[in-house]
Amino acid sequence: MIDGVSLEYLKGFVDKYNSSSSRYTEVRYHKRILNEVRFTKGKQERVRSILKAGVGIRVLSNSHWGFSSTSTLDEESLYSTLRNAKKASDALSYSSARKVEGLADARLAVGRFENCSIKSIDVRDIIEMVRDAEKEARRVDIRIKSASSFYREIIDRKIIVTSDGAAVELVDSKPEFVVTAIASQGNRKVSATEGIGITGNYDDLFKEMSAYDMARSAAEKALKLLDARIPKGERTTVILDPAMVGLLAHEAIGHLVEADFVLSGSIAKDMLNSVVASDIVTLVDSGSSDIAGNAAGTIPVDDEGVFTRRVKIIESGVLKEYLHSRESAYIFNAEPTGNARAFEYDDEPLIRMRNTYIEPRDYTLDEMVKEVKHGYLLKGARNGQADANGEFMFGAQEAYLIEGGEVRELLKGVSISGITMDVLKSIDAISRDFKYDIGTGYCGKYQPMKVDGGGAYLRCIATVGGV
Amino acid sequence: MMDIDIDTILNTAESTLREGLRMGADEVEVYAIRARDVTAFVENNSVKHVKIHEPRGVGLRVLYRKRMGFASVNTLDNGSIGYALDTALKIAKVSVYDRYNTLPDPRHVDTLEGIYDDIIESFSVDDAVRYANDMLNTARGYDSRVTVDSGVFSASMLIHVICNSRGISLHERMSIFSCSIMGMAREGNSVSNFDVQSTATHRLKDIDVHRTASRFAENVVGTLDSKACEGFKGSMVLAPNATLDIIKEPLVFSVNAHNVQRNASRFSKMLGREVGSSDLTVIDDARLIECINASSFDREGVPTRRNVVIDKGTLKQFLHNSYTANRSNAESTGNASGSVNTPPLIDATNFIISPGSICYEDMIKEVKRGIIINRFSGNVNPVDGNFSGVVKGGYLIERGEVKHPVREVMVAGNVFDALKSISMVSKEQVSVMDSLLPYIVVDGVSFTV
Repeated sequence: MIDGVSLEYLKGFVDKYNSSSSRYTEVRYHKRILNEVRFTKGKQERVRSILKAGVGIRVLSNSHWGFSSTSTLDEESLYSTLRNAKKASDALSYSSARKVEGLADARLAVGRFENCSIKSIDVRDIIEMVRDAEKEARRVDIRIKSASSFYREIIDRKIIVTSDGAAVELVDSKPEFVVTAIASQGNRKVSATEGIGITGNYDDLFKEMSAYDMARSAAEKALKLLDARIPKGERTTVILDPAMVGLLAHEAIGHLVEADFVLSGSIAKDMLNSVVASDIVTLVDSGSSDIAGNAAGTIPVDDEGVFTRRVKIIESGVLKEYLHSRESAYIFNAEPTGNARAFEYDDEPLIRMRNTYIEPRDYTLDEMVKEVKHGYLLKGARNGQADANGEFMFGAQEAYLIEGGEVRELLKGVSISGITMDVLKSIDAISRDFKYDIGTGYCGKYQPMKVDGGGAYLRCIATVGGV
Repeated sequence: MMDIDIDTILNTAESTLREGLRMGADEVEVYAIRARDVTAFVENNSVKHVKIHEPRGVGLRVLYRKRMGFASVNTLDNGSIGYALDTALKIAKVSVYDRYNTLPDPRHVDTLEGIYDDIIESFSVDDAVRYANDMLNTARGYDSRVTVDSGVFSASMLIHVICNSRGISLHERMSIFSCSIMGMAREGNSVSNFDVQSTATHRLKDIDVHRTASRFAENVVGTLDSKACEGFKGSMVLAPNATLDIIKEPLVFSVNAHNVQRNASRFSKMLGREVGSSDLTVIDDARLIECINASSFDREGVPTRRNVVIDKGTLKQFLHNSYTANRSNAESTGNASGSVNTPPLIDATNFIISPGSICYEDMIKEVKRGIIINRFSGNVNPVDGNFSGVVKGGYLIERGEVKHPVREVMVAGNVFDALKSISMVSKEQVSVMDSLLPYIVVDGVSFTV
C-alpha cells in the first residue's frame, strides 16, 4: 500500500475485467499524504502525518452508476470492489431511479502531469517556522493574549484509467499556512486571521508575504477590531476586495451553474444566453491558474480523466455555460468542462468548481471609493452559502465605513446577502488589481473540496447584516 | 455482511504497542477502526447511486520524552502500520517538549447497551435504496411542488478499538442509521428557500424517514409565497436547526477546555458565574443512547459520563480530554474526540438543551413581534460571539400570531448576549443528529431587510 500501484497495473485490470455488461468502468487510484503542524499559544498542539490511499471504482451498468472503494490493492480486492460497484448499480435497476442515458465524448487525458516538484522538507524546519510565527503574533502587543498557526500540505498522486481511453497519472501539491490572533481587553475578545493556500511548492507559499508578516498582520487586524463597532444593517453600496469577489463568484453564481444543481431546479435553469449581470462582468471557472499564478483549485485533469477547460460562465453579462461532468454534458448536449472532482479515493466524482473568478477591468480602488457617498469597503472572506432561489450570503472579516468618497473607520465583520441577479446587475465598477484569495477555504457539497477564487476590487449593491 | 474478527484487530493493536515501545517510544496509543457504510444518494428527485464503503484505519500517538508524534494509515496491514509507527516516532523526536503529555490510565468502563443493532449485519444496498425511496416519495407525495435536490440514507456499522501502553484495552461496536433530505419547492418562477432535515439513530426501528421528509416538505411548501417585511428589533424564535446553526458552535467552543486554556474562550474566567438566563440548562451526555454520539468510552479510552455544563444559567464545568485535564489538574470529562486521523481533540458528545415549561403554541402567543427562524445561513464568530446572516424558512409573528413567511431578512447580534436574553424555552424537544433541542425565544434581536 505504501508503494501504491502503477498505471500499467490499473490499465491491465480495466482491460481484463471491463465486461460487456458494463458500459463504462472507471478506476481511480489516489494516494494522499497530509502533513500538518499546529501551534497554539506557545504549545505544540499537534504534528501529524496522514496517509490515505486506495482505489475507487465506478461502473455504469444497466444505465445506473455504482461505486465502491478499497484500501487493499491486490487484484483480488480490486475485483471484489468492482463487483461491489456492480452490485450497487444493480440495486438501482429495480427502482425508479433516473437512468443515465450516456456520457458525452470528452478530451480524455493520457500521460503524466505534475504541477509541482515534490521535495521533502524537514519537518523540524516547519515546526520551527510555525512555532515562531505564532510567537510573533503574540509579540505584536500585550493585548494579543492568544494566537495559533498551522501549516498543512496535501500531496496527491492519482492514476485514472477509464474503459474508454483515459490513462493518466497526476501529481499535485497544495500547501497552506494560516495564522489567527486573538486580542482581548476586559470582557471583549476578537479574532483575526491571515493565511494563504496554493497549488505548488512550499517555496511558492511565502512569495508575496512571509509567515512572520502574516502573523503581524493578523495581530494588527485583531487589535484594530477590538474597538470596532458592528455596522448598521442596511441595503447599500459595498466595495468587495479580491477575496470577497472570489466568494461572490463562487457562492452567488458558481453553485447555481453546476449542471447537477441546474437539473434539480436552480434559478439558473432556462437562463442560458440571458443577461444575468451588468455588461462589465465576465465570470470564469478554470482548471488552470489564469491571470495570476498558484491558484489553489488548479487541476489539469479532472477525476473522470477529462482535460479541464476554461469555462466562461458569464461573458459580458450574458450567461453562457454551465459546469459539467460527462454525464451532465451529455444531457445538455455540451462539451465536458472537466469539473467532475472527487475529494479522496473513496469519494465518487461530483460536479465541483475549480478556480472561479471575475475578470479585472480598468478602475482603481481609489477611483471606486471616491464615487461612493455612503457604503462599506468589505475585506477578507469568511463562510458563504448559496440557495436555490438565488439568495446567497457570505461573510467579511472587516468592514470599513465609506462616507463622502473616503474610507473612514473600521467596523466589525458582517455577512452580506443579496439575490444573485440583483447583485450581479448592480456591479458598476471593477478594478485592475487581480488576485486569488480564498485558497485556504474548502467548499462543502457532501465532500469537501479545495477550490480557489478571486478577482479585482468590485462595487455593487447588497444587504449588510448589521444591528 | 462483514466478518470482522475483533480479536484480530486487538492482536494487531497489542503487537503495535509492543513494537512501538521496542522502537524507543515511552508511551504508545493505538486507535483502530473498521466500518462498513451502505449509502443511497438521492439527487434531483430520484435515487442516483448507491455506495458501499468499508473504511478502516489506525491512528498512532507516541510519546518520546514528553514529545508527541502522530501518524495514521487507512489500512490494518502490518507493513502500513510499521510505516505509521516509524513516522510518528520520527515526528515525536523533533517535536517540542510538553510536560502535560501523558496518556490516560485505565479506569472502569460501564458498557452502554442499545447502541448496536445487529440488524445492521444483514442490511443490504437494496434496503438502503428502499429507505431512500420511501423518504423521497413521502416528500414528493406531500405536494407536487416539492423538489428534492439531494438526500441520503445511510447505514453504518463501526467497530473501534483503543489500546495504550498504560493498559487501556477497549473495543465497542455501534450502528448508525441516518437520513437527510434537502431541496426546495417551485411554483412557476417562485422558488422557496432551501430546507434541510436530517435525523439519525442507533436502531433501525427508531429512524423515521417519513417524519423527516414530511417536515422538510412542509417547510419548503410553507415558504413558497414568502413576502418581504420591514426591518425591526424584536424576538427571534429559534427552531432546533437554527439553534444548531447559531448557538451550538460558540457554546461548545467556549466550554472546550483547550479554548479556555489558550485564552480564546469568552468563558475563560466565568466558572460558577452567570452566562445565560435562568431558563438555560445545557448538558453534554454521551450516555444518552437516543442520540447518535452515545458511547461507553471516549477517543482515549476514558469512560464517558453526563456533564452538566450550564445549570439554570450558571457555568458549571468545562469539557476536558486527558491533556487539558492534566494542565488544569482536573479529571477528564470523557470528551476526547476525533477520528483515526488526528490525535485526540475535545468535543461535545450529545448536546442537549433542557426543555422549558411552556408549550410551543403558547410560546408563540407570547411573542409581540418577532421572526421564527427555521434555519440560519451566515457567519458566527465563536470568539467574540457575533453572528450575522440570512433567515431561512422565516415566519413573521405579530401580537402572538404567525402572519406570513418572510424572505430576504438578515439577522445579526451577539450569541453571548443572546444567551442572557433567552425569555422562553419550549417543553417540546427535537432530536437532530447528535443534539436534543427545544424551541428557544431570544428578545431584542435586529432584523434587517
